[in-house]
Amino acid sequence: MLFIVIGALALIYARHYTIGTVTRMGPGYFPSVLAIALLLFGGIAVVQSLFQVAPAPLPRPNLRPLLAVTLGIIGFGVLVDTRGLLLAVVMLVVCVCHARLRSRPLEVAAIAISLAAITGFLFTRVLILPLRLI
Amino acid sequence: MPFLDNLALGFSVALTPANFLYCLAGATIGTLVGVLPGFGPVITIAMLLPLTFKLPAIASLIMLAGIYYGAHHAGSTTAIMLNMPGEPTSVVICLDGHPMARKGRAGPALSISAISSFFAGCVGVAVIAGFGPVLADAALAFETPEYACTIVLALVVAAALSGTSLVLTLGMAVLGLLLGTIGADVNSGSSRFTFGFIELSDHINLVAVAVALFAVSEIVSRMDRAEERHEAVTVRGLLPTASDLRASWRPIVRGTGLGGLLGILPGTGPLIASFASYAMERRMSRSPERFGEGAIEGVAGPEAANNAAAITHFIPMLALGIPSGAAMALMLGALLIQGITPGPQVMVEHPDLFWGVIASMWIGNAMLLILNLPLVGIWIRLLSVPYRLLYPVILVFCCIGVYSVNNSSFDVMLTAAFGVAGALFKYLDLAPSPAILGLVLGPVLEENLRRALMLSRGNLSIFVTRPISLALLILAAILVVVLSMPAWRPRKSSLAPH
Repeated sequence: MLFIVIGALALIYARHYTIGTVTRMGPGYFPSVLAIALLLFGGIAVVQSLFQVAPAPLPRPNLRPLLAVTLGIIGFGVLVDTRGLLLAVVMLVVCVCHARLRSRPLEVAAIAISLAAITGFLFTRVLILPLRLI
Repeated sequence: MPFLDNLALGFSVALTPANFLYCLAGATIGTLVGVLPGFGPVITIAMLLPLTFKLPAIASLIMLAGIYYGAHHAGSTTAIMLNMPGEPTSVVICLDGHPMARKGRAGPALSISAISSFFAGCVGVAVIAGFGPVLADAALAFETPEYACTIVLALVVAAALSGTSLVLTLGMAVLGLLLGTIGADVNSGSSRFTFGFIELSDHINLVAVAVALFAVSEIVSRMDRAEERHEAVTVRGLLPTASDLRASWRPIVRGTGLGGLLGILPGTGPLIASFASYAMERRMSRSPERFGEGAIEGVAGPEAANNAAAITHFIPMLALGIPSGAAMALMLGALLIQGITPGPQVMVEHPDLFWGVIASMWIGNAMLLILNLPLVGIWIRLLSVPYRLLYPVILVFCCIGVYSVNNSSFDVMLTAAFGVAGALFKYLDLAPSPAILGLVLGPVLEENLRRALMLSRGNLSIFVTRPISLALLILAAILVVVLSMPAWRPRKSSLAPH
């Protein structure tokens, strides 16, 4: 399980090595030290895991919630600039509640609309943030 | 007396109607999230951080502080009533608080926990008021090498306490430091790791990362699980008996002292304080076998320790500008955005801020006593709100919050990306708090490190020849050794309720 960490670390390390060779306190010095430290910890972790009794394999993750939430947030980010806050909120709620869209469409719609209304009022009228409503 | 003058100034700031209301709001919100398991002060502060930008600095810190100690106060309510810790720090309260409740003594357990929280909170505030200025004076002797060493100490200890494997949590701290280097370099101005995004040149958005690593990953992992139902115990009679009070005043005082001390040390904090106090009470008790069966000492001591530590936890942040936990790191971020650099100068330049916040803590603790005891039924009923209604609300607030920091949809995308990373970390059981701490402290550490090395012309021995910095490094080493010993680790698996 730790190999993923190592993979990520190695990638980060390789990425900045080009700017990191400046030794005399250039901008790359500190990151290089950190990257080496990170590689070191990753290495120790892997070595440790080799000596351990094989741990129980991790359960297979259920990726659906992650996918739904991530899509929802990306959707919010895209819509909030182009189509306004209200639509972005509705979009986010629909994504997060996708599992119940079929079984309880009314509930999801109620959450989406009421949340859009409340946040729209709160953020643009009470707190006066520069947000587009529509 | 300057001390009394300062306190008078503090109360005059904290008692203005607006600040009083923010204190009440903070304490109420804190109680709310403290009751809900899984949603702690860190998530809430991250979520509300953008809203505080519009407020004056004092009001926002008063509110955020209220959320923080309110959550620590309230976490034990659900631990006692439902055997379900609202916060990780109240895991120990379950051990004896819930058995008490099952024996029909929920009322005394709740009131003892509220009384000990209140007492510990008041003492903790007094410690800040008395000790903060002293520490700030001492901190004036701090130069760049000392600051660098204190930051290392805070990171190492936070890492040692927050996970199962020290190597992995240290790795997370370093990862956070690396993320902190994203953006324009302090000295040369050249951009690093921006991967061509101009949005990244002004450093990575702390709110986006914090919301993603804490809130988004928590929601994703909870959506997977079925909702748990808990049977509530009914409360009959709130007041503790005289023998309850006799049995608990010593643990309360001991817990307060222990917690107050552990809270000041960078990196430790409420979690370790409550576990340590429980262990201490059990060892000191003449009848240790009662522990786990509803011993009132097992509620009073840890509860006091937890709250004393939660309050004195502010000292390193306010006096040195070095936060000792994820929640403190976010509050530091809030202050920085307001244009205030916490540190020894804060007390001189912004006495109204420092003393106002301290006075508000006293007021807030009194409010919490009222919020927690008579209103306990409301908070318990709140738990019947299904989580499926809460997820969308929390996510929507998080997204709007992240967006409104810079009015940038790029930050929202960043949240999505770090949300995936956070889910991965959670899946691999890697603790995110060292990473957040590293992210906040990274630029400060780099600057101090580079200045220190410039002073010494690149000679690393500057860190071990100066007495204070040497002492800090030795302290870090000792704490790591002690805290990584199995007896001190908060063993969630063995202590958690079945």
